[in-house]
Amino acid sequence: MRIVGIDLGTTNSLIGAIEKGRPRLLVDDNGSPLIPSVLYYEKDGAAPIVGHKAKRHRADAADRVLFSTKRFMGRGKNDLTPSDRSLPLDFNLSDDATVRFTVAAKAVSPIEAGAHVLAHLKKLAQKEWGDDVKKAVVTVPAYFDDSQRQATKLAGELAGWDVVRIINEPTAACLAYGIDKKTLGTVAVFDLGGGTFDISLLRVHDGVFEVLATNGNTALGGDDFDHAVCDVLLTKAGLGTTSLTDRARLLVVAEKAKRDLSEQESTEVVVTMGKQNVTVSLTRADFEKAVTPLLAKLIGPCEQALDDAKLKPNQITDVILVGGSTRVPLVKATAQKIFLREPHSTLNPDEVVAMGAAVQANLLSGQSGEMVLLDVIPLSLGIETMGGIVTKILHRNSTVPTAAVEHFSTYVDGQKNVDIHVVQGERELVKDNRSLARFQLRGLPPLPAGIPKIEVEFVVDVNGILSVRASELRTGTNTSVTVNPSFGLNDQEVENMLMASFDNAERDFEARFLIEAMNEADALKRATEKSVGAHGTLLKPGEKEEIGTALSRLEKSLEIKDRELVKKRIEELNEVTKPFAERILDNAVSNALKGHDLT
Amino acid sequence: MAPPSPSECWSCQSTRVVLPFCEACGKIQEYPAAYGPFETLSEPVVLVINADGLRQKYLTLSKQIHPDKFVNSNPREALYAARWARAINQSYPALKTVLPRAEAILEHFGKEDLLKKRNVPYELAEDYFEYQEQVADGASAEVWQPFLKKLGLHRAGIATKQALLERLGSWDEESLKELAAWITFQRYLDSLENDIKRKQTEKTT
Repeated sequence: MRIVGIDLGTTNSLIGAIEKGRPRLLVDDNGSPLIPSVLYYEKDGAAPIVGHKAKRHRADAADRVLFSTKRFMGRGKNDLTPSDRSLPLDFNLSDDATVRFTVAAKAVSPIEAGAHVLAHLKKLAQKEWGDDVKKAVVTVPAYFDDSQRQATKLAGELAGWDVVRIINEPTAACLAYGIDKKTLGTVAVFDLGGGTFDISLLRVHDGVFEVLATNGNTALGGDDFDHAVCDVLLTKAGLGTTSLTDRARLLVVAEKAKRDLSEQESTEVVVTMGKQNVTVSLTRADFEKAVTPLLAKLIGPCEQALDDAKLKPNQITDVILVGGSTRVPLVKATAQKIFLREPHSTLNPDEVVAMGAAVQANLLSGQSGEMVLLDVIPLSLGIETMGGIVTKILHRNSTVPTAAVEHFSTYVDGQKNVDIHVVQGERELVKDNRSLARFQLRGLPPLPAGIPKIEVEFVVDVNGILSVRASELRTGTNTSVTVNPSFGLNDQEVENMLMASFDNAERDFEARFLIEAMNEADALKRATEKSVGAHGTLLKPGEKEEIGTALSRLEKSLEIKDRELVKKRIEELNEVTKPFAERILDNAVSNALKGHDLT
Repeated sequence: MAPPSPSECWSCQSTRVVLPFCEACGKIQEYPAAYGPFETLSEPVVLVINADGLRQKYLTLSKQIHPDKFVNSNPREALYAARWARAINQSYPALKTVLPRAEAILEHFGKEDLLKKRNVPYELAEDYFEYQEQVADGASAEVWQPFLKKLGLHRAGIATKQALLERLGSWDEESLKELAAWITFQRYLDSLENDIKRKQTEKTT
């Protein structure tokens, strides 16, 4: 079955697939593959219009339009930057964990907004390739953290896509460049889009695309240039603060001025405020002066990436420009200055990510065996330990998929529950990093402080998405929890959204539930085998055989791929091992208490 | 040295299993729980690194078992591939540079507890505290120079030790102890140097 590639962008989104060995991007009624990621809510209570038609209303119906919502994917109130806040969007910040917008008398989350764009793309794809097009590879900025990735994946699912893979935008771009030439050398992909900046360094040799390091800023892009231009225009026109409608109108002219100034030295802009019209002339020098502080922010991430990859700038053999904002001459010059090499954009910088997504989609449909992508996690993952300190479990730039375990113990005698707080980021203190999830490991045996051996396992899949498992080893009990970090929406909310979603095929969920059940079965199987190995002496006659039978029944059920059956076999195995597990617990407790005064 | 691989393929029951695959039917096999980085990348348990060879092995294996190649396989194979991929991605960084590799050797023999012994020269610590006090009392960052020189001498000693350890083709109790001592001392020097560097930049900024 055909798998498509989607670039869900801040400004524009694109969709494509490989046809006759080449990426082909679909065009909408407007004839362009760039479909504006803009929603227009024409009527209250109705689904929004997406794309060019919606974009036309940015200036005249600002209160009914949503755009640039990708900046807020998986973000909370405290993540908002000043330039985010100056966007002409009606923020609804009643919930700390999730930013929402009030539009057409409704609170809309960025996830839903993204879902509408993705649903629009789906209609386009089904018109072209038929209704059975359901699987998609969706790109995200490389520097997106776990919450932002999960949010994007959920947006895809809400739109009725089976998101088979999340891949990083710069990596996708590199794949598009590598489709003909399997060896490129050491490549820097410099990707400045509408809302995000990514720098990725890759070694491309013999069909292996190996990401060496990635860095970036998920709140820096062309949008910020537009805001800077707005501020200059206001100053030049001698005007002060603006209403939402005025600001929306101003942003539209600022964006046009920015584009013009990439081609020409000066431009005339009409600033409209209420009934006032002021004509302002803007030169490229004015523009460059306004964006220089923003460009300075591009340098740090590039230097850090080089450092992490243990590379000197002169070892880079190719600099590829990606994203519409790299059309700005000063951006190009900045990239050149950092990597001491003239950058190029042989492939259209607006389209190359979607083309790469199509290449990856093709790889996943088993069409091309000779390419493989080794990507990394952009930020370290860890857990909170005593004193609000982060203990890193997986370091940034670790190749995915990957896993790591770390052992901890308790601080208080008889501690029954342990809080596990999963964080992502590079800083030492928990409060400076992004909180991904909190959960509790419950029902620890009553042991003295320091005796329980708590194992925390982090597993990151090929999408860069994390799951965490924690268990207490000393007793060998199956006290384990698997959490998929959330992004502020509770399960009920997610479920409601899913239920209300546009045209979800039931089997998409069935497939997801099956995978979850299989993962659970696999974890249980391993834990059981471990306990039988470690505590064999505690087994009663015949018990080992009984457990063995239950184990092999569980294994068989995994092959049949029936979720209900897998669940049933899991329960059966749990039932059979229960007395054994209790004996292990008793044994561990009495061992631990030996030699301790019980006064 | 490597633990025995499973004797029978789970799918076709052939005995021609050469991990990660069955040579008879080509199906991926389960990742053995007892495997560590050396077995995963079929590397000799020695300190000396053949960087190019190791990298080639890593890339070749990655190409064979990357989960992307198993998206259309049955879930069991996909599961096995994912576990191999995770193990390979963990093993490569553990073996490609010398210090993590030395630690992996200790773990291979279940001797990581040897690292808990802090067998570092006491006089270095004493010196370090002495200089630290001088700096705290207002001496310039230059004051560290003689101490850094001393660290440099120790570094040279450690390099010689490393060369000796690299010649070892097998490990006994005694050589593992030596290895552990070498690791702790190396780490200790690194932490001292990093600390001083940090203090010096704090001072200048």
